[in-house]
Amino acid sequence: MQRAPSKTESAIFHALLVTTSALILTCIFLISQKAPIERTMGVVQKIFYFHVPSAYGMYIGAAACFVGSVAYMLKPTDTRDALARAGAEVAVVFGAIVLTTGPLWAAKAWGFYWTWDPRLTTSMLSVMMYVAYAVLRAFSGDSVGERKFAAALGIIAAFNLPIIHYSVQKWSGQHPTVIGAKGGGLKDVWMTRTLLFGFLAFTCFAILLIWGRMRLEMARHRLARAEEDALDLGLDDRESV
Amino acid sequence: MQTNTTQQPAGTSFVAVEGGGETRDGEKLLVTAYAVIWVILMVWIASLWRKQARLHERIDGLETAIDRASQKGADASAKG
Repeated sequence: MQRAPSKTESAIFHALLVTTSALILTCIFLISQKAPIERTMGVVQKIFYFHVPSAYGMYIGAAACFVGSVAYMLKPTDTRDALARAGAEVAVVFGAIVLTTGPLWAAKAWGFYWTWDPRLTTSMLSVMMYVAYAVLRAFSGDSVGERKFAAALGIIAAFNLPIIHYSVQKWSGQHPTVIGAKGGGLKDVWMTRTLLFGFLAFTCFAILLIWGRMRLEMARHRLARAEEDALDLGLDDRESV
Repeated sequence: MQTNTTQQPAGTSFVAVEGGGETRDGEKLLVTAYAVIWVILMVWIASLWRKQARLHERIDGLETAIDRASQKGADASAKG
């Protein structure tokens, strides 16, 4: 039987909510006020400070989906299923942000919105896999078989993540590699600080969203069990007065 | 006010630009990107809100059923 969230757990969740809000507001301040305008691309380069952390948020969601899916395959529980489902949805949300902010930046930097560059293509493929997971969970039943099928998809989808990461190094392409030993690097201290702060803010944000979605899913499971128990006891809320 | 009186020849063909090259307003793109982020997040959070509202409806229904059952139990014991 699932338990209700404890007071300590709820307090930590709300503390994380407040911390994340403060971090995001600070991040917006840093992007708008402290990070300098890039020499060749101009102000549009500031998309970088939430485009890259969003991609990182997508990885966190995908990792949660992978961990939840593997754990569910080993021992099926509602908590593990909820983690996988929450992770996949967060991966879709951050993936959608990456796939819309990237082309808007590219429109200025490259002169066109989209190209079939290895990193762009593998990123889109990954997002589509998590969309497939979310659609499967939304429109299929909630039995163990369907959950295991979704868990298998969650595991398979994770194999694409290292390919996204190393695609630029292996197959080159147009996508810049500013972060990394061979990349051009960030040439201003406020560029680095703003990006690092963005990573911190979006890490907390992704964890918060996964946790919040997981709590909702757990509450749904508990309610479904309570309704089944109520029906077994002969209670029916549809009974006429 | 100075006006340009030079007549431009009428266009007779369209030629595709090589490799993009069209310049766009960076500020507009930046604002659009911000707007897109908030719209995506708000739509998702609104969907969670709706799911939570549905859960509350089901909890209300369950509570009503429990109240009704306990009322029936109390009535039966009063008659007995």
